[in-house]
Amino acid sequence: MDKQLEKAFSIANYMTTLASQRQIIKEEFHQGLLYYFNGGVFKVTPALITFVKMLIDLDNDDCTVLIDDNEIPVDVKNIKEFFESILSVYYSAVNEYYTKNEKLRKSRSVESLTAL
Amino acid sequence: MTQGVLLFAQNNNEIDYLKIASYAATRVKKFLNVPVSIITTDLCNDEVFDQIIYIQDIAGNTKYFRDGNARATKSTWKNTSRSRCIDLSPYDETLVLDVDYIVNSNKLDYCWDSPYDFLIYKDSYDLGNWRNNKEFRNISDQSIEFYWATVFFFRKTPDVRSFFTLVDHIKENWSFYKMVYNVHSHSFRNDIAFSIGLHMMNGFTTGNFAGNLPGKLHYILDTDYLIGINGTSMQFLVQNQSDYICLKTSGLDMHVMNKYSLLREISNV
Repeated sequence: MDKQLEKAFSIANYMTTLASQRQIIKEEFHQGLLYYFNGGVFKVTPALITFVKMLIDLDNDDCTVLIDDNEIPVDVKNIKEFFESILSVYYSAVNEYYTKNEKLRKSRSVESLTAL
Repeated sequence: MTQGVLLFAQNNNEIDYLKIASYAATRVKKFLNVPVSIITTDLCNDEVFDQIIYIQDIAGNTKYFRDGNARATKSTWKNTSRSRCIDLSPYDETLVLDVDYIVNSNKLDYCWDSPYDFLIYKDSYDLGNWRNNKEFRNISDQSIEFYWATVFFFRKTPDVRSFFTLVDHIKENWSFYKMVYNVHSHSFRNDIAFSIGLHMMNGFTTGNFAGNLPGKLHYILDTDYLIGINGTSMQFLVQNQSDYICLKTSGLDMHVMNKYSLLREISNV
């Protein structure tokens, strides 16, 4: 096979792997954002974080009911503790996603993209 | 309430399901920290299992077991006992897993506290996301939504018992339900029976009888290969037309449909 064509196929293979691997780390990130609390499941998003912070800022010290991702009401007795927990989940997931993405960005071969 | 995982493993002349189940059980204990029991027709004295429950061997379907593109061998597929799990399970709260569903996280911990008495996956992610996987969105064209019987959770309640009674009924009248729901599979399939059963429990429409297990069910097909395991990371060769793409996952629970490759990698771990 023509060397230039061989190289083109190799690069195409690398690009396909890179695109798929990006999708996979995104899936891993979304999974990392899931937080379980009192029978509910919450995907920790900036919107959730902002909403909970707003509730705290409104001096809401009483029990709060939040609607989880399955649209089920969940009783949150300590909203500040809940906030700390979801913030921790968010930072952990985002930092891990960043690290994985940086590794992908710097990888120049299929082997380095997918090494165990 | 007692909690535990239930695995079904019935060997055929191609696949050592017990060996896969043993590996799957160690992963469950590591990440979910619950006891694991096994339903089997084959002699088993593996101490990894909390309880070994023997059932009578019943002739199953036959299907092709694929090892990527290398080979496809027809063998017995003993998949008809799944609906008996509510009677066979020694636990009040049971998470049923296919033995080729490899746990790499504590994602499934959600189920024990869930307000739903029955949880199952509807959303899924094919590592070969360029593939047309419409067969896993609806049970057939213009038919009802597809639910995965690979992983499901249940509590022993009258409503859940009714659901499994329906699944049994669908199994016994498979030809009829196949026709009514326009299903193309000749062999009985738990996924499709569960999907039909859920449709019926919801009053022949979509509804909330079953809750969603968190996230998505991630999978590869039996035409793909598992080529490496290292901790919670797994490495695959995923078919892309006539070629294969190498991909890696970290911390994702994976449904590895190519059981031949799973057996090879289990031996290397």
